[in-house]
Amino acid sequence: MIIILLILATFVFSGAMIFGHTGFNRSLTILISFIVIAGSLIGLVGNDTAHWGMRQVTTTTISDLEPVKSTDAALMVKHLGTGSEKVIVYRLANATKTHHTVAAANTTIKQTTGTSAQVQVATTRWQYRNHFSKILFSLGTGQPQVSHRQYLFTVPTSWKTVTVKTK
Amino acid sequence: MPTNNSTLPLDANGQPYHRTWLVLTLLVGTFSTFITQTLLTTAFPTLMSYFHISANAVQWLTTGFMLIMGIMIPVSAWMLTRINSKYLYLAAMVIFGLGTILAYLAVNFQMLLIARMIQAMGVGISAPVFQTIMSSVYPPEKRGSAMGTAGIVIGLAPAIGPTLSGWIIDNYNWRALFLFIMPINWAVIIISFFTLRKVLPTSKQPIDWWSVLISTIGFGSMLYGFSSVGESGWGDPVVITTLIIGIIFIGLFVHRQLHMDQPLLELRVFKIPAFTLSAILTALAYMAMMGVEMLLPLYIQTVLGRSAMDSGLILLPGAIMMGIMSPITGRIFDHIGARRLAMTGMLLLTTGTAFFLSITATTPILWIIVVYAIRMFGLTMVTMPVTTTGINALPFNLISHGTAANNTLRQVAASMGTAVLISVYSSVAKWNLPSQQLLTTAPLRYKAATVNATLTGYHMAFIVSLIFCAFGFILSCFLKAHHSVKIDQEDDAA
Repeated sequence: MIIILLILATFVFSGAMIFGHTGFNRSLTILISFIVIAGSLIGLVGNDTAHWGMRQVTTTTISDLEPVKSTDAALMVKHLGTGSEKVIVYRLANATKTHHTVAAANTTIKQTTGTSAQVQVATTRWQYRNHFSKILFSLGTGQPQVSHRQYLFTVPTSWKTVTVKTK
Repeated sequence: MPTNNSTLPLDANGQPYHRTWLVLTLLVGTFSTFITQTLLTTAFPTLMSYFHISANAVQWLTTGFMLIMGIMIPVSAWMLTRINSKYLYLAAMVIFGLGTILAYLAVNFQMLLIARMIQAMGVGISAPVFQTIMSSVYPPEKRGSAMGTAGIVIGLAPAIGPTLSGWIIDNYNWRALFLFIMPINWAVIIISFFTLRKVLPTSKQPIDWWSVLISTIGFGSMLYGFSSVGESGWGDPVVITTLIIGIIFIGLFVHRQLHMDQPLLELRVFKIPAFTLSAILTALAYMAMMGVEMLLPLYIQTVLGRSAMDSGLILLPGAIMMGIMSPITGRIFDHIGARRLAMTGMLLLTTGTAFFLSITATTPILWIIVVYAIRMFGLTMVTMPVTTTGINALPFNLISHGTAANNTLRQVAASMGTAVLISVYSSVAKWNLPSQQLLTTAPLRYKAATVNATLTGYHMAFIVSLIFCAFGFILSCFLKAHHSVKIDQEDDAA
């Protein structure tokens, strides 16, 4: 919507600036259309940089885990760099393929021990605050952006984690 | 453009000729040559692996091209006063055609580079000749429309180049880039024999070889300096030396031209305030345009992670906007002059640029497309109308010199603007880069911080571009209202 408003205001502004007869009406049209142009751009920038019209919505999924290979190699950890950043390879129950945690700076990974083997994925995304803000901004924006992801692995003490060398 | 068959315009020999055919030939011919300016950019990776050359080396296929163009333009004014415009344009097309054949046949990088330089000689002559003829064959009150039509070539061709070459490279190979121009080029050469005329009076003015030499060294050295800034930075000894040599020799050139009776390039056109104002304004607009046309594809490819072809496509609507609007703004100019157009354009350009000050790694492509197109929309209202006002302020016999002077200034300003923006971008980005240590401890955070550093670089570069635009807006307020000839006539009639 804002983007369409921006295009329309640009045409109105140009038309009035170029063809308008000098006078109050021209000045008023120019002023209003320019405010719309500037306002639209500010709105777009605000949405893009400060998430105007958006709110964070967290969806949490809990899935049962099976060991990737055996309980001796139940989870595989790839350490990225020498710090705490890592990727964990895991396998969901009844799945043949393995999954891995998303390697991004906004991913946090926690591991605890418990009775059952589970992974809890809490994904926080930026969603439109309401229908109005969706109408305003949605044209051109793609998938909702992920603000952050948190993985919580709970595995029995018998499950061993194996470190895999990266590359 | 309709031709009036009952009153055909007369050429310099007093013979009637068909203006529409002449203009059409020039348009097609110049479009096909002008497009090669930017045609190779998308092909760089292909050429690098084909010839086993570095990124710095392959860059010369475009940089060298611009350099030769910049050297040829100041000389073009003399050529126009000396040589029959028909044969001059034909010669430029033939030179370009030979360069194109050579480029098609290139067996190694050196040969391709030489071929590009030969092409550039052709373009360096044909571009100002084209503009001069376009503004000379129409009466002043139609000049805006004519220049607007010329603007399609000057604005659209370089903008289409990267997208077209991306498509050709994806479907054929790099030789096809040169192959597809050949038939157009040679067809134009053949048709030119019938449609082109000598439209400008010539005189046996001797060429001042010293001026040619000094101008070649001066502009060559300065353009070389500016184009090296991107990779070496301002502190590089080669950059500093070439820029100083450039300034000294251009200074000598200016001094010599001002003290000659029949200079190579008549710089006294700058004594006409309306012309000077328009020349500076066009130069500023080109500085604002070229730098951003260089930065945005980089941003789209490195930050948004799109392909070169994609970045060409993203900028294409803006280019097409320019192609559509240019003849329209030309027509509007003929009615109301440049002042209102230029002020509107500069305001839109400035506000559009302001948007790019805060682009992020997640800015939607559509927004970039739209705001970029608005920016181009604004630019179209500035470039050709303002150029035409400048030309209209000149007496007829100085048009070729005015065009050459304006083109030279524009070429230097554009390369300077690009150098400034690229160097601001790269030094700010480099300054904000995370420490190398972070790469080993936390590669993910390093990656995020690197993207942020790059973005800060873009933001700073766009701030500089915004300053160019704002300055341009202030200058556009000094343009005279109702400068156009037609208005005066209407006022007289009323």
